[in-house]
Amino acid sequence: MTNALGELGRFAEPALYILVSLSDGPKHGYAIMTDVEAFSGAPMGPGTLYGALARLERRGLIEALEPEERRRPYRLTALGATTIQAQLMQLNSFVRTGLGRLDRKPS
Amino acid sequence: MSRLLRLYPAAWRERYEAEFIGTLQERPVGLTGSVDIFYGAIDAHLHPELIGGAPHAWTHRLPGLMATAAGLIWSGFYLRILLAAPEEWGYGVLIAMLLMLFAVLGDYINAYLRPIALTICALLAAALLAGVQPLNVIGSGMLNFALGATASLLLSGGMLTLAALRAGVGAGVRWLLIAGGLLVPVIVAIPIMGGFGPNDPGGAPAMVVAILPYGIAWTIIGLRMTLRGSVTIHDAPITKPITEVSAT
Repeated sequence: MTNALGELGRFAEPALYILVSLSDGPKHGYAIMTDVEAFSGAPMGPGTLYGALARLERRGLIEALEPEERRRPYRLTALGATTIQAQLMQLNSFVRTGLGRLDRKPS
Repeated sequence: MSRLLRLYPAAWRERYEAEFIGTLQERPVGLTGSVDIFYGAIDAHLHPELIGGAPHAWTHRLPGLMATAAGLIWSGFYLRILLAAPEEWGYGVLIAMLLMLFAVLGDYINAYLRPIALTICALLAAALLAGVQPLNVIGSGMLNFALGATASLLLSGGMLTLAALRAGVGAGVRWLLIAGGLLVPVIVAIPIMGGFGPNDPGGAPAMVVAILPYGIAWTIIGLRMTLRGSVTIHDAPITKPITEVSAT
């Protein structure tokens, strides 16, 4: 895990989910929660969501857009896009290594 | 459910509350979600730097921890009386009161480093001593009791009020804690301490019920102080534009 997310402690995994969710365009809080639940299978609580959003925003990985009534969309910054891409490539390498070793395991 | 958002720091609410409420309106939460919000509020208090505030050094948590310890020791001591009815007071109350004094002193020093803080605490320390001495030197009887009770009331009430102010609780809750933790119990305690109530071991429960709330109030205020840290005059609510916050 890269330092940018690894240093977020228990918010590292929610932050990763949020970055993935924002990868295809800006979303507000409720849309992020719904999207994350759809692709991860696990619901994300609102306290966790805003704790992670604040950390990502603080680190310049996402930015808030102008609010639409009570909804405020967020989008990836260039740094956020680079970070999530590196993170996913690292995870991809990890997954391929693990699956490859399972295939080579003598039965 | 949005009442839970009051647990968050003011600066946090200023930045996130509107959209947080919007999210909750679209997706109401149950018990698990409420617990998640509660943890989120604690996290927000522990990490003020997330919304542009200065991160708290551990020393800024120390006064709150001392206040919490004071409340727990005080409560524990009187609960012990209730359970065991010991004849001697021991050092529990004295330790608790010193911790309360140091908590207020430490918080003011952390926050302001102003001479007035030291002056207030010196006066409180003097009141602590004065509250004990008249009982021994002025003599016995109602005058003795009245002086001791008045000094104790001023000292206890003053420290609780200062701590509640430093904890940043709202005026309504502050008065509730002071009334429920001190004023009402003291009204109950005065006739008991003056000998108008039962003085045998059977009277201990009434005494405990009258004084225990003070420890509970300190525990609540101490926890709040711990979460809040020693707030300085420089820690004004964050009003920077969002873009500026993002850039930091």
